[in-house]
Amino acid sequence: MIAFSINLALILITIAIQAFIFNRGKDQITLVIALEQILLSIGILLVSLSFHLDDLIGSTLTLYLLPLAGAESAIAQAQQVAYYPIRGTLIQK
Amino acid sequence: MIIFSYYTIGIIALIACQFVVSSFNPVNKQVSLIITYQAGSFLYAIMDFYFISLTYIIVYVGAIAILFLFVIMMIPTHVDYTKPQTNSLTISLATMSFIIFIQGIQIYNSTNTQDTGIITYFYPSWATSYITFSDIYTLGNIIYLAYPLALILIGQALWVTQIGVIPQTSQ
Repeated sequence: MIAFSINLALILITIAIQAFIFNRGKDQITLVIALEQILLSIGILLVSLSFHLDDLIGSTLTLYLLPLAGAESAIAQAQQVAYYPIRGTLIQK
Repeated sequence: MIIFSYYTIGIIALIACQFVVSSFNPVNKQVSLIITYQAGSFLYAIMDFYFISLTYIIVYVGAIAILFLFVIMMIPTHVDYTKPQTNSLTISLATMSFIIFIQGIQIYNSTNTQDTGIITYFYPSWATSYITFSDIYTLGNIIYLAYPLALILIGQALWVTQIGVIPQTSQ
């Protein structure tokens, strides 16, 4: 079960990073979604390792990472909403 | 049975991640992201971290996903289908198969495989239940007693976020 959880986190984070890279100039909503997915995969890795190493470091760090994810998501989307009248669209060609 | 459910929910998370990356409609992306959050929350619940799993549902699905939906609904973010798009499905499938292939090679070459199952807590006597703490108890001890400065700093980070965001959107 250790191998499966580590592989799961690795695959999720790799797919999210590639989604971030390949949609960089085109779609802005996808960027923020990919960032949230990166943080989720890191949370899965930390909590599973905390379970298998019989410690509480991973789960505590995940609890601190959760509001940070919310804060950066709020800032990114507030910027998108605030600068939408100037840009005109969220999709660049 | 527990390990089977763990593997199933992990595979559901992988499939949902595929749909997040390779769908054109942003609403479909958001729904698949919510499914991924739920899968992660159930993985935590299987590993006896009940507080973190419920917190993920409350914070991620209840706040962040709703925020996403607000932005998607207020601002037109639909992609133009007449132009050629880069579909990330093949890239993500290739990545996943490559990583699984590498792991398969490692398992084939290893001589001793060690896999610990899930330790189930049951209380046959009051002595055992007396010395076994729940996850909320230990996490609370760490956050509030051991490292309280970290809690104050993350509260300050959220406060700074509020101060920065509100004048930006109120014009």
